[in-house]
Amino acid sequence: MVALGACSSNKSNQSEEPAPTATVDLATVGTISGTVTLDGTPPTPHPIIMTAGPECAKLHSTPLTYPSVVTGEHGALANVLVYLKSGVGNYRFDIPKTPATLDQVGCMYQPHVMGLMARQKLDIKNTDPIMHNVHPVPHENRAWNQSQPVGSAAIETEFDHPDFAIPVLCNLHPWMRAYVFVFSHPYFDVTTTAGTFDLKNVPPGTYTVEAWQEKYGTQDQTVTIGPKESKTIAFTFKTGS
Amino acid sequence: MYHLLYSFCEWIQNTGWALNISGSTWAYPYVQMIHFTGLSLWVGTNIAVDLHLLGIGPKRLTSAELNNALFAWNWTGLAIAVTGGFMLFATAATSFIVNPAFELKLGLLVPLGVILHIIVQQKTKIWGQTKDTPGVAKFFGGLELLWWFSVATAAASIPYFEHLG
Repeated sequence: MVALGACSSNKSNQSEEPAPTATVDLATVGTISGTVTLDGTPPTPHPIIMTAGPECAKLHSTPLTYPSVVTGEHGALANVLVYLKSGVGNYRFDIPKTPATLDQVGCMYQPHVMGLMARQKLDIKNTDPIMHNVHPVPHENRAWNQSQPVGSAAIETEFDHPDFAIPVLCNLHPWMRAYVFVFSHPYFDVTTTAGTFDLKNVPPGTYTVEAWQEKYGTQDQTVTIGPKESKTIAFTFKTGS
Repeated sequence: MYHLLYSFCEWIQNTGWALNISGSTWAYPYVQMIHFTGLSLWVGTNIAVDLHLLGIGPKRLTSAELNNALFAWNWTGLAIAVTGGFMLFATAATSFIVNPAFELKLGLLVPLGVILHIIVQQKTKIWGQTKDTPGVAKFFGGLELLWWFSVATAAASIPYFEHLG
């Protein structure tokens, strides 16, 4: 296995890397896993005011809250995207054949935070009995805006370039928002309500691992893993941060 | 014809300026403010003259004089409302054109309302020369009031028809 090239530390550099040449040696890969927790009392979620979409309000017996901070037991923090920010060599990665999926359920995007690889297919569905208007606002890719009527087929799309925290909006329902991350590599994961993440098949090396949380921002850690090694790390966001 | 309209809507909502309005946290509310400012001017000056035609309000001026005094504000209001409205429409044009309440508002009520308004505005020069307006002036003043009330009702109903899109 050969690790090539310098690390890329920001999104604009990711798209300017030279053509990848090496493949990851699966015999030596390891895992970086861990947990993300919230230190402090989570903010009280405010009900979403659905006056701009009264038909959406009818879908819920109790008011929805915006999922900017979702916690599980013992402060476990969900919807945190953890990824290798730098240190990934100039490897060639296969783009997953399975499309990533973003759905609109109850006038909310599900999942709220997701990652996929550049040029991986993304299916955007509307399972609601209500029309939506999908509008991603990328930084490094082309923006677009498409209505999605009730019962229509999924919008099949893809992002050509790595991109960071693309807000996906609905122009009819202003509270609807998802965040889509686009990577040139497969080393990313989103925490569940258990607060856990797994970055699998990571080649030996030294990496900057970043955790992104919608309200509390980012945290970085440097991690070095050797051949077939597994490392466990922990991120803790403070409610005041 | 519908395909042509749909293609236009698809194009307009994907223009850079429309994407910027709908993708910005602040631009959309400011455009809404422009639209509602224009509407306030347009409908407000309409109502003032319509009520005067109905015999309601101070009689220092005749309806014709009031109509004349508000003429420029009136049409300036419509110009602002149409500009802001078009910008709002462009943020989700393909969704709006299949909404029955929007179709009723913009396809029927607003065009006919503007025509009705032009007729009332022109006729007020004759009907409104004296302090007491004739019956026909009262009828058209009342009709126009009701008409713009129905336009506002159709506009407010748009979100209630998203399930039909």
